[in-house]
Amino acid sequence: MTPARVAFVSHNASRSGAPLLLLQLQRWLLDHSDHELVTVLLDGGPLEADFAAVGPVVGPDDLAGLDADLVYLNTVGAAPALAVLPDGPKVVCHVHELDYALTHWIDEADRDRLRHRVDRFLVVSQLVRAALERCVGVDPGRVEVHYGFVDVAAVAAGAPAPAASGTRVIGASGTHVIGASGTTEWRKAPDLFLALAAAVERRRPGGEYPWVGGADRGPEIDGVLADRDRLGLTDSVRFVGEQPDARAWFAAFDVFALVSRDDPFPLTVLEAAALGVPVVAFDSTGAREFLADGCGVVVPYPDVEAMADAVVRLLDDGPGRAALVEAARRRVRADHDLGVAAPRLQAAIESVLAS
Amino acid sequence: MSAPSDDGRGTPDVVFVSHEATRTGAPLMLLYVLRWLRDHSELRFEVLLLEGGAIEADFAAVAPTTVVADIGPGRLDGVARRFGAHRLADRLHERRRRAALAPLRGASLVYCNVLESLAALPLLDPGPPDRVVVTHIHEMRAAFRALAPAARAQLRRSDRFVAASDLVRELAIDHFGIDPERIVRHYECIDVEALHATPPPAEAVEAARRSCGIPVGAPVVGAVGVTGWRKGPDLFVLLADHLHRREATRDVHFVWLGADPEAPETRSLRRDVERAGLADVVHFVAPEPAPGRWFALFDVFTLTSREDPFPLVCLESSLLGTPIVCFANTGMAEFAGEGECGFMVDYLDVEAMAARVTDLLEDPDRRAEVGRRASERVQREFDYRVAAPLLAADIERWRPRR
Repeated sequence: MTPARVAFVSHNASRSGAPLLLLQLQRWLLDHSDHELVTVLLDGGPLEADFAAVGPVVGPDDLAGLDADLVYLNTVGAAPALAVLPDGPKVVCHVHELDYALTHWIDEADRDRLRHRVDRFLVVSQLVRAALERCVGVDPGRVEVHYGFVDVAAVAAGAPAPAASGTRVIGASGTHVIGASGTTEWRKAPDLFLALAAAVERRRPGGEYPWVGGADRGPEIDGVLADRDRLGLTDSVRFVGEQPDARAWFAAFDVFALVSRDDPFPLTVLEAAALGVPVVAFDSTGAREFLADGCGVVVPYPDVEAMADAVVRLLDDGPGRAALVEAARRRVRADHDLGVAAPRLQAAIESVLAS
Repeated sequence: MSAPSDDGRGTPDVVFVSHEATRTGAPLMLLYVLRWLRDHSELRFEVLLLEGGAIEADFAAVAPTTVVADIGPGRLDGVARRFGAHRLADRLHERRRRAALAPLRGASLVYCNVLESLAALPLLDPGPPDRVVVTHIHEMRAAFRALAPAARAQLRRSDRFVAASDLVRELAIDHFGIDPERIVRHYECIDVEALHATPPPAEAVEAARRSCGIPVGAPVVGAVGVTGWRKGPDLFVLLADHLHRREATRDVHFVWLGADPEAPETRSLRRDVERAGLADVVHFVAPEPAPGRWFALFDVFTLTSREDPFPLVCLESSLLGTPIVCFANTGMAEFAGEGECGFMVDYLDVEAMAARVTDLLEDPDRRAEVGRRASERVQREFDYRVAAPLLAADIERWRPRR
């Protein structure tokens, strides 16, 4: 393949799903192609240095003069870049967003540019494909599903071996640990996590419920914390904020609860699977596509009682749990490992470049 | 209505301060007390509103009323502002406001209808040395935490406190450090006669039902309030989900009245309802000036608030004989009781709330019986003709004797 100039536009450099995924893809391309990579950051964040290690990083002011063969928009949040982009480059847009973001985060002018300027859409789940058709009017024929991925070996290597070290970050022996992870915004539903904890406690008291990531105090979470305290769950439901060793927390979970109201295709679920932690989720999220066929448990949104039942079943049913964990581990290795998914994305990029 | 005139009416005995004149609990409660005082006492009083609102004219009909926010810039501060001298303009504006309020400064008692109204005190300084400040507290934890510094700074100046429910009184003592000897409870009240005199026409009720696509005869669970977190509209959706999962209650509809269609929370809730597959049965309806037609549609009234001192909408709904189900941590639990005028369930226990609502829907006799007791109790205790004199008597008692 002929070396090309590829510019990746990211809406920011936060330590969240889409920028992390982009970094992995860029690192893959660096090792497996001769393409010249440029990153355009529309806003900053803690991953800036990581992007700079991959190649030159420029800002929004440089968009108009961008000399590239292909522009890769990392989310629809990067769609405003289309307004100033020169006519030359081909455009690929990777979509991780669902209805609310597609309707309210971008405006009609952005949606119009997406419809007309983008050559191919890569989406992270079937749920996103449907939302893109419904909210932006994109013909599904121009859309390819590329599920999210993680570096399975790195994830597994990053976790401590609990049996060997005996140092669990949470949960005394015999305590059940039901964990969650993500930002603490409404969409991710820390309020429903609290409801889940209360429902599990009614069935099986004495558990611990850590939420890793997001805010540990402040206006976004104060209401939930007040509710938690009033429910008498102050010591058991803990919002521990960003953690440098999130995987060590995950590894200590008996069950990973994805309580999101909507979520296009959360990478945390893949990480949990790679670490051998069973996952329960609502059917309103893209996670259901990964968890299908016995790779996890999916319950109707927002039936917290059903989710609590599923959690208790996973705690009690050793063989069932083991089968589920094994199926999820197989699937994450087969379909959602960097080594499998990145070449597919690379092929999509090559085919747009060649078109 | 903008500034008090010097029409020789003299210094009032009492200035009643309301943070605003919206059609909400605290301003309405104040309006009722003032109507009673006008008709039954010799007290000379005026009203000071920090902001205006829909019932501003109702206040003005009872007593001379000044809206602080309406004391606009004068010619001098306008000139100062045009020349960019903003601090001078602010000082001139402040001076105008103080001049406009000079006639109120002699009042020997200032009543603040909510904690936020305490921010008005500096405008009424200096007052007589024996002036008494009374503050009516409707705020609970979250509202107290969010109290503006300008009001918080005045809190220690208040000599007496009124609490909107026993629960508010307990919180004020335990969390805000208020002396138990200085705080008494007065429940809010409504105008029973006025509500009886203007029952919603049957066709208006029908129109409400049709506007949501609710079939004739389908049971309706209602709730009223803004769509902020404190009122628990998210819990209302969970409640609906609980009932909708059961075959026997699948035909129940859920109406939340008071959802501003432009508010981002309302949009999120609508989306949430779609996601949960409840779009046909859960209805978020915009607020209406005369919401009585909706109350008439409800078979059971739910209060899903995370905290709420003593919402008037519950009294209005109860007057119609609709039983209420609420969480135990709201002031309404004091009214509802355990099956007396409604039911309370443990805080956030949506499953228990769903069970109570289901029981009431499936047992019309019980519903009627609880509803009848609720209506009788509202008429007996919560009509302003009964409740306002009690508060008015305390105000008279606290006023310095000259």
